[in-house]
Amino acid sequence: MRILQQAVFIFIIIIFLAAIPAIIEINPLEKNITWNLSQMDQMYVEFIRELARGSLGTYQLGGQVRYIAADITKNFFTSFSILLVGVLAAVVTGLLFGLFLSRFTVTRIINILLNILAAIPDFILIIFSLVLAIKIYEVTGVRMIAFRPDAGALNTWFPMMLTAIAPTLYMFKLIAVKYYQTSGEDYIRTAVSKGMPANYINFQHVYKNIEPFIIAELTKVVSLAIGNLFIIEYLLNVPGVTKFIFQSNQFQPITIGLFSMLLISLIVYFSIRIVLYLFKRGLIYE
Amino acid sequence: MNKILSINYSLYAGVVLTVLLIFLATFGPALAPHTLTETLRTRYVNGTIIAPPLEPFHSKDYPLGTDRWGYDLLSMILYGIRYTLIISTVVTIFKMTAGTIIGLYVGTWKKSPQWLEAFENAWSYVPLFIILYFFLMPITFDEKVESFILISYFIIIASIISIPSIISSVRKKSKEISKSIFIEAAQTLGANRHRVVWKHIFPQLKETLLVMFILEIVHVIAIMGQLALMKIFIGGTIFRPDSQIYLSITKEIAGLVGSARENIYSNSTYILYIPLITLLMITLSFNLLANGLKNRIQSAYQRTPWIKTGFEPTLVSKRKVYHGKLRFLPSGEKLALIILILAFVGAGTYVILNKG
Repeated sequence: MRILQQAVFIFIIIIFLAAIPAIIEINPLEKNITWNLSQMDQMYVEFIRELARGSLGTYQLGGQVRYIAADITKNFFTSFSILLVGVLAAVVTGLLFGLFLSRFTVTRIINILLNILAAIPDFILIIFSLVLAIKIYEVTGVRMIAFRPDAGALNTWFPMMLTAIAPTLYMFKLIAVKYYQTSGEDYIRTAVSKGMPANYINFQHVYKNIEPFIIAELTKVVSLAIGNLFIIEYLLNVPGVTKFIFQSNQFQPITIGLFSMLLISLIVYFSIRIVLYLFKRGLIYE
Repeated sequence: MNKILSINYSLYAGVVLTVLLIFLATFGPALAPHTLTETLRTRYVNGTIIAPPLEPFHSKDYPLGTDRWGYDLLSMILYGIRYTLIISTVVTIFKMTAGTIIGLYVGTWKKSPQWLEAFENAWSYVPLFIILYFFLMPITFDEKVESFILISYFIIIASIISIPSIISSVRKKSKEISKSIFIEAAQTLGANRHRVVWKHIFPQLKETLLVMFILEIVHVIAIMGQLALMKIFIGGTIFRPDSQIYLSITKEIAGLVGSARENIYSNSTYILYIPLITLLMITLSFNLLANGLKNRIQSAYQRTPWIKTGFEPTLVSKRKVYHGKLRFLPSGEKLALIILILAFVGAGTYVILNKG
């Protein structure tokens, strides 16, 4: 029931958002902002008609008009792979450095580094990484980024890394705080007094109690990753689904773009859930 | 224990930097060496040519250098910093007030409504800057509307769209506290809902809310920065189609970063670095402040862990001293705060007196 409600809410938000650029207008005489709601129903009717005809409509890329259906599969998988790798990296590094490895002196340096990075907003980190990549190219000649949309692997791994930054830092901070809080609980004391090793306690007692928080914050993590994906695809000219969203003001491509983004985020969310489930089944007694 | 390690550096650094920022925001235009329309004239000095873009730390008149057209970078930052700070603070005040009040009350309900939770969840999926992007994209460009209208439009929409996330986190905290025994005791003694909320739950959350407030300011600045990367500057974007240049009308710092972004590929990268570092300093000082406050709260309330976690704080908790000795001159933190305020006032008067 709740999932249904959520789906309805998201559907309404997307439909509304996609219509906004067409609704808001500026009255040039009075210099104020007006809302032109009369176009809205017409747009929705046209959108549904287009879908009923079995076509996804067209979008503008530069000067040419292209069919969305012809490009969407490739763009979808580009965005999907970037987002999946980004979120997966976030969960794995967050768990490793926030929980399982955090007590060692060596990893403490990494913890301090992650804490410092977490104080910097993600878009500044993105700009700094761009600068760094360009500097590396200037000094060593090793090419790390490409702005051509057809550059192949160069087009995916750097965006993947950039997308992973913000969710990783968020996840790390969350897990570190929860780990610290949980380790003060009485059941940890019981486990310690029974002489169980630290690793065992981390897996069996701490992780099991932190997992609900990780799952609860997973939507936030995915949303962070999507936000950064939008910016990165725009900045690095990656041929992903955001091409449909930022290239034009039309209702059709924006809606299709947002819905494919939603689909991507849902698939990513559930794959991470599966990974966490397998981890729990494989390594932790039930 | 070790006294030097247990000083709350991040709190002190945060306070000093934030006061400095407030000073710059208040007296920025008075401090600026040039106006926003003044440009550097190309001229010969001792046989070398001085022409824009001028590099930083080369000329006394233009300490942080100029951009490609000869406008002073330092002056732009000093004019713009007040927009960044004021806009982000106003948005935060709006959303925190609304979010806190609604969240506190909904948290005391017996059962939080299902549709609200579904809405919060659905809302948390959508990145906020995308929503703002769609709202601002049709109106930001080409000075079609005055920048004051654009700023207020941004403030209203940014506050409204970020309220649900604040409601959600305040609601969860309030719900946690309203399960406590002292709430039950208060209710047994006849306290009504308003009293429970404002006399029993709110005081418990005061410190957490303060930290949240400061972090939300950073969050708003981050959204402004993300929009700026999309060429949407708060207060309007001027677009020059012949050479594809985007300029910020208000010179707000995130906007300066956005309009200088293309310089990443040029030889004069400092045009990007200078506003970027300013923005970094702004966010860092708020983050340090929030972190310092959090450390202080945590050291007072946190239970000690039983196993080695690697996150143990080195701070010693500060307790309130009731019935302490009355002194003529306060010592420690209070004295430092008084000196800081005096320095602020003194420097402010100096700037105003020497304006000419």
